[in-house]
Amino acid sequence: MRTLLLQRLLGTIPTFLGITFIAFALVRAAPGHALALEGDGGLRQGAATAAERREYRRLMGLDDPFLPGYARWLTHVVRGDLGDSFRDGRPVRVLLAEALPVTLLLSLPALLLGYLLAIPIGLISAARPGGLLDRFLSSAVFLLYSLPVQWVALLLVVAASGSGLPIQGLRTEGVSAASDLFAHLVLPIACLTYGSLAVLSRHLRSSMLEVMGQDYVRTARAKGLSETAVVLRHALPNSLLSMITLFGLTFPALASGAVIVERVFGLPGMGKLTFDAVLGRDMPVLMGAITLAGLMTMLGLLVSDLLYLAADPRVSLRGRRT
Amino acid sequence: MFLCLQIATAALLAGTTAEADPDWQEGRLPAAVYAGVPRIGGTLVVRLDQEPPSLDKLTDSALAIDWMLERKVLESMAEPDASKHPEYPLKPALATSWTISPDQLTFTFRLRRDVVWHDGKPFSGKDVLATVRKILDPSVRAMHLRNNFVDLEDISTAPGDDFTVVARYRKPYFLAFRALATLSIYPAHLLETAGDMLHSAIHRAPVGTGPFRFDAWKTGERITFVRNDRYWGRRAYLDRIVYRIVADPAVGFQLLKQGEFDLYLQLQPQQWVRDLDAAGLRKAVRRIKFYSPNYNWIGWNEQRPWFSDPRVRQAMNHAIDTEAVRKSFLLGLDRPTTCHFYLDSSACDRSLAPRSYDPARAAQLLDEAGWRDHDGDGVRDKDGVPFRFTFLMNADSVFLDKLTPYLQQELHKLGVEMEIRKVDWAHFVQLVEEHQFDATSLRWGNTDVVQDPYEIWHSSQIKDGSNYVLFKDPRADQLIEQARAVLDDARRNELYRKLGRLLYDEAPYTFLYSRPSLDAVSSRVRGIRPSVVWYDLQDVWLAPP
Amino acid sequence: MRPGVWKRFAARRRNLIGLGLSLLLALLALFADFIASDRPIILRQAGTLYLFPNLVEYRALRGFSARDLGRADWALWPPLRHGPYTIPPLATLEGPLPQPPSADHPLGTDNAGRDTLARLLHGTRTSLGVGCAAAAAQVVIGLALGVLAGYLGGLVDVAVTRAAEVLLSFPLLLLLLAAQGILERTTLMSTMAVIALTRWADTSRLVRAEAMRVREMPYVEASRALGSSRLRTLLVHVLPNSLSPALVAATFGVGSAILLESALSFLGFGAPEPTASWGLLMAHGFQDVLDPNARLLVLLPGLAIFLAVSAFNVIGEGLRDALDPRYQGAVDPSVFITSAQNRALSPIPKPDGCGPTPAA
Repeated sequence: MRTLLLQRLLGTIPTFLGITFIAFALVRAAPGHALALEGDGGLRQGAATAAERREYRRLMGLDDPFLPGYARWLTHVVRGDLGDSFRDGRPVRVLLAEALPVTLLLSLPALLLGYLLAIPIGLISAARPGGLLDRFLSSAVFLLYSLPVQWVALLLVVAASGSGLPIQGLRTEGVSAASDLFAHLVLPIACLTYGSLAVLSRHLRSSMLEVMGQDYVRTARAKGLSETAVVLRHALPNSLLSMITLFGLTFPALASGAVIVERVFGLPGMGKLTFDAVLGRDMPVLMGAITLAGLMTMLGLLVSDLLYLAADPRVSLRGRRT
Repeated sequence: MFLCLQIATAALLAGTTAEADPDWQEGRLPAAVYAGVPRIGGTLVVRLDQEPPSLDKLTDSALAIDWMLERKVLESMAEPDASKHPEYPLKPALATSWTISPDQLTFTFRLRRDVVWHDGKPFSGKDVLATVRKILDPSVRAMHLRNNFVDLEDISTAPGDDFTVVARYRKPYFLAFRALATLSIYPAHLLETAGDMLHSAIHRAPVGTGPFRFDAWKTGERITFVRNDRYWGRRAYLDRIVYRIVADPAVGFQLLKQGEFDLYLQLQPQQWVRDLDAAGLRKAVRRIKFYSPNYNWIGWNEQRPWFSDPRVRQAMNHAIDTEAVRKSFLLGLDRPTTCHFYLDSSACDRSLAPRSYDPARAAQLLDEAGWRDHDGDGVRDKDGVPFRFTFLMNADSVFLDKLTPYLQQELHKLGVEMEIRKVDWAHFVQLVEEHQFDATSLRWGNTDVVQDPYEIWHSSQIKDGSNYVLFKDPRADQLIEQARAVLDDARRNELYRKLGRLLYDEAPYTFLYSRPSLDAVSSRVRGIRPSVVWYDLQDVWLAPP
Repeated sequence: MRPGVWKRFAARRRNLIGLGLSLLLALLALFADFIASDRPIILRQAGTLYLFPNLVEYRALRGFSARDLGRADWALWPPLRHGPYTIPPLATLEGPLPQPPSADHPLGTDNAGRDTLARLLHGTRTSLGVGCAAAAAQVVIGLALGVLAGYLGGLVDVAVTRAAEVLLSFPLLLLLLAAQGILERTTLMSTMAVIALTRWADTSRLVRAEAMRVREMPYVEASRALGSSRLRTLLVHVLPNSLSPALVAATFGVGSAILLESALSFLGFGAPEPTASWGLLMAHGFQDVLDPNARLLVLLPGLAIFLAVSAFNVIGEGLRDALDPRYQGAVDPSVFITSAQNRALSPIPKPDGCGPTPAA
């Protein structure tokens, strides 16, 4: 077991190198000036000459050759230094530390809420597959899943205006109560949750059905156990384990943030940080965000592997290296 | 039917009330805003649509930084007098007086002795010297300011007098004095250890001498300034200024409706024209419409085969119904312009009217220039080159999203094919700068009424400057060079009017419009005055509720 | 495809509704020019008969306008006489843009004065085209790599798996930007190609599992024992059996790509003008979402996207159920392990952080 774990951990290193190398290449290859300027089609006279931007490239080390550049970046990262933002000069570490909590504040409750809602939905659906309730619920979650998130978010903003529910930022000026923070999170979390219901509840439903068809469940049923007892004692625990496996795969999404939701609701999370870094060609920040996303992906895959192993000992780690 | 009637009456009502209130209609502030005895106290909440990268004028040129800092947090030796539109002459600030030598090469400033920095250290001429030196330091990314000091020979304090600054220049240049006089001064004792500025505390938490001092910056949310109670001049009335960053215009407007802002910057045209009224905000806010020096243009790359002939460029101009575009796409708010300079200044020749919408004339000009449909495929061509070009636009332009398909359609009728290429802003700027476009559109903006067209129109500026369209004309070069040494405004503006005539005839740009700043201010805000140098918030006070 | 699939699929009314809806949308997309165009379907002008000027660009008809029709001329018009790109002469416009619904413009106009209904109809073509193209591309790549990884195993498997992991960690926008730099011109299709390049991982995982399952099947081993080549085994046995999971992934992929296109348009990375797509239409509507006239511009494309995506998702789900007959009680133990993996690893992707896919 330990050797397998170690093997798996070592296996993530080339993946991590691959991610960062390709990212570095792409960031370098991406066209455009790394100098964030007034957008919206306007340039300031006297502040936008070509010479100036060349000077900027030189000062920011963007003219350095590619491979040594990557090697230097990598050695710095190994030492825990992600560099400083081009845009505002602050360490990338600080920027990530500012943005990550905001994103987690959104994504963790959204995920939790998703599971809390999806489990009963999945259970009810699986109780009588093909029944009226199953058909209704599965249609409902699918319809929700098909709604464009920017559409929902903006309609919510328009609908919520005047209702007293805050639609912008994380807290009201001068108010530090938890209830205020909570009120600010209601709409964004709603936007982040509704779409995941379909994935989660359908997943639970199908794994429930699978378990229900198993021999030991049939045996339990044959022994005269009530249907509720069968579901709660046998089917549910097994299905939940597979839900946990799914959890590992949501890791990267937890930390990468949601660009659109953060943008509409003005939340300074990872999504906004990454999006702004892309638009401003803020290379160190972008590399930092990708590194974080890469680490989370690795971690997620590892966790889901381990959980899967725990959930279903019949699968050997060797047979499944995804 | 009933619905139609309702809409009609609503329109009628809106029409009548609008006429009754010309200040609202025109976006002027009524006299009542300047009446009454100023009251001390209160917080002014301002909506900002873009977070600035830093609060550092030395390294970044974002407009919002100037807005927040100039004359409020950081001060200069002299400052433009915002009450004297449109000349904006300089008035004393950190300097009490100044002299300019007869040869226009030596400037002497006498500084105030009662000024202290926000951190309590005293101010002197050493701070001025340190700021200029920082700008000249090649390891600091202050290129945008450095250009102003290329001809500076020497700057020093007078012997034994730290409060007299003497600057000597190598050659006379009309902008040299204004650039130095209005330079925001940083504290020498903090610049010493600031290195390249990027890693210094004052990069994001500026220390100045102004009536407000920096308080806090909550990234992505708000930037706060508080009153400086040790200010040398008249103290500000406001306790605090909070700039809230709200990027999304729809969300911002909802917050405005909820009364969250006292000063709302950058309303969208339709919000300004229609939504404020529709939301019943006419009592709660006042509209402000102000034209700062800016204009947008369509530029035709003169090294492309299609646009080397001025007749073709004129034809392009005749193919656009600029007046109808202004009314339909811009709600009639923008001012048409044909001039590179500030519309209200005497550098503009107002007799040059925008070219009329005249497809027949456009076709004739194209014919004259040799662009005819020789091969009969429906597209004009010349020397085997079909008139098929690409219009480069930046992805976030709402206006170009409408203008480009319109232009495409108009040109199609003339037998000219245009494709549209859309790239994001950072990429767009790079392509434009490297002259990698056939035609494009951009807006020039400025925060001062006095400006030098050298960087944009002189042929030497094709490589390192901003002469993106590769405009090359010895007559223009000569006028621009000549004007640089003329320090008298009237004489220089006469040269600029000649330059304007030349640009009008050569048509390297199709000059379009000057865009207004469309702001809204809560009716409890008093003493606020729009100007090309934005608002002077130290004069602003809040009426009691 | 296994027998009885259609029967199982058709047993659900929901599936049939989804299928019907998507077919209807496909028809609208195909025949958009016959429903909304500013050129007639058949035109007789000045003694010449023009067939389908709405499809074919006739040189003589450049700058054609309905007012040019003489007395002897006649034309067969589509029901809606507006094209998706036509901007009316601006000087004749009355009132601000966008315009509210009127007799001439049943759903009003967009903010450049173009007919909303025409743009919606033609947007069906763009959005479905984008969806299908991206889904097809992602499935082809996923199928190829998945089959190779699952069947060959070993180093190939490791390489493909690693590549999929790498892609999972990338912001899509970065890839789009890099594509912008490499390609002279970004079109909707190049955008979709980038999406497909990042999205094949889901399909490949599904297919890989299926291929691994098939590899162990007695008949495949038998055919190998009989001396058939590796490639042949791959083509004859593994590939066809991998098609069903790929088909399911493709169906979900269509919906997902349509959503992604609209999200990209919202962020300003959509197709250039004058393309008519639902995402762009909605993004333009958002520019003045408070204007009652613009509400339709937001609501209608949103609904259209919702309908189309729902239709494809319902079909996908229906297909998945129909292709996987275990729910009817026929448990094939050999299917179990791999299909449990399937579902654990391939939750439906969602463009914006809602599902376990890196956000754009």
